[in-house]
Amino acid sequence: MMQLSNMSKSFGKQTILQDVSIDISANQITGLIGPSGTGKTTLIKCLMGMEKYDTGSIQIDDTAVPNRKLLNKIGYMAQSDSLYHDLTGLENIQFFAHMYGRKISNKAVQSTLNLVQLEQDKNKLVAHYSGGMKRRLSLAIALINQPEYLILDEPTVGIDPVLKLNIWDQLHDLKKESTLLITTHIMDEAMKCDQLLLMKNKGIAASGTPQEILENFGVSDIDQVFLKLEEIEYANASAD
Amino acid sequence: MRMLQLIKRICKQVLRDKRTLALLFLAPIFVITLLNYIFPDPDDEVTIAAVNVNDEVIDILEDNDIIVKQENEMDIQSYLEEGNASGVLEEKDGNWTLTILNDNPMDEGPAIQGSSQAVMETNLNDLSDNIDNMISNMEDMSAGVEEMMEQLPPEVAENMDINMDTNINTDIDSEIDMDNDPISVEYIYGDESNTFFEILNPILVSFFVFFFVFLIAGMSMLKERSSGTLEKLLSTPIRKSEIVFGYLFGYGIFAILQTAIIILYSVYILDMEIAGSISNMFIINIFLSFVALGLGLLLSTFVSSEFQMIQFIPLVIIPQIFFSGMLNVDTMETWLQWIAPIMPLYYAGNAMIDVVLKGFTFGEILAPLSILFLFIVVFVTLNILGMRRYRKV
Repeated sequence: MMQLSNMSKSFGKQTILQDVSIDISANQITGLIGPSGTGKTTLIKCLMGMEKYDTGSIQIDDTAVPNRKLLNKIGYMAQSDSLYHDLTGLENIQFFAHMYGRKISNKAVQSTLNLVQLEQDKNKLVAHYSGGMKRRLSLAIALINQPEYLILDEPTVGIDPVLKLNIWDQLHDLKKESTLLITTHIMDEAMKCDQLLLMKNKGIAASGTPQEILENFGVSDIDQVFLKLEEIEYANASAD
Repeated sequence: MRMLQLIKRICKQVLRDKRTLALLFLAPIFVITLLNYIFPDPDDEVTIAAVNVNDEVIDILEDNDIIVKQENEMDIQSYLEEGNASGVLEEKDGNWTLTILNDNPMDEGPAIQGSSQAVMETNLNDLSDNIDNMISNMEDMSAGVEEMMEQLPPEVAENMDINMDTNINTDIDSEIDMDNDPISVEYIYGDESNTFFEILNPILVSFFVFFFVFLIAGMSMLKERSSGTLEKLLSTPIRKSEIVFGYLFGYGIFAILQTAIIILYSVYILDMEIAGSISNMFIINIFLSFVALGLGLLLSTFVSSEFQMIQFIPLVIIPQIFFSGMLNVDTMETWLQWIAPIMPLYYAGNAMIDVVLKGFTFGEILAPLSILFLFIVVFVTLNILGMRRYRKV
């Protein structure tokens, strides 16, 4: 269980997140969606302990973040492909597997490679990978330690539609053992999540299952929710 | 062991990157070889053109291994610019003039030295000849007086109260010893065959170790950061100290190899003479390379591109050359003397000179080594603290 309560974060004078409180429920895919620049990545970095938050608290399994040992339970995929281009795909996976300190079997490495369909290309240098292949390799690395928590920052950018569907199926499989937090700004992907957190104006503007959110706002897709939120904001501003 | 895996990964990456390997191993060898041949050999002869110079001076010049070309009146400037000689020596009404272009201190220094020595020696010879003449004149004179006295009537001579010491000491050693050099030079360290390169080389060895290791460590850490792999690495439970030490030892292996190659090449191929032990040279440079690693990693956290990393070179690397033992720090401005002790190359360069030229033992270079070690400790600590920028625990 990941819990954020009254968490705030600012860089200098610029407040990025204000008074954010979220409960991320176990064995669900929670989608963190919102326009770019609303603090999705900052929130994730705070959750990982990479950024320090100013006030409030973050807890994962009743352990306060930041805590280095917690990282054993977390698989993380950054927005950019964080890969060593001068190593092969397999070497990248093996290197990061070793970083988790426990012995990760060759079988686990193989099945992860199969999952992202990179078995054929595992001995190629990453420098020769296509954008989609790099993305898949990053995903495989995030999965390598069979984490309880999987935090994926825009995992499906640059992946073709067939593979994207494939990966979403896998993610739904993964939630049997893991809790997933996924950021995205592709709205049709948001509909595939179990829970949604809509970010706007330094905080969470709406949350619930996709259906609940659509019903609450009386709209037919998530894009319109954001338009509605704009309207409400505009109305509030003119009322003041 | 996460650190070992990190070291393994770095080795793999360096070995695959042929350009980095070349930069590490071939570049220093290339530059050191170049320098070895660029600096002139002291045995090389200097040519001086002589105009209206008497044979005596020419003989002395030639005795001092200077090639003398006898020339007539000419346009000195164009003669020198055509490279016919390093200097032109002229005598006019007893005044000696040596004309040089003043654009090449390497050749012109010996030319000035050689000609002034020759002129001085002939002047001294003239002087001693004059003394000889004076003495023989006096002898003639006293002989004349004696003769005169003998011709005088004895009673006159007896009454003359002349107490003349006719025994002028003609044994005066008027022969000033001109066969030897007027000054004999004693060398405390090395001998007269020491070239500038031999003094420079120990410093250069250290400089290359420092420079290339600094650059490669800094660049690779920068790459790790800008490619996002550092962030990814920090999302695993690896300790920040494991990353810093992994980097230190991973690149340290190559730094040690590089040091070994540069030193062995200088000593066995370029015949650098070393008074002290080669192992002390290794120790100094291995310490220095770890300082360079620490500094490179540290500075890479303050830059955001390779270009900015290069901009640190004139700021961090170049000034260190001046303090590395090539120039005497004691005679510098006071504020510069304060700067010297914060430069790692100041300790390494001087320790290298002490070992290579003066034959210092391990015990005698313990002080600079401890300071280098202190630098390592400080840089490693700062690096680990600096990692907090990317992860808070």
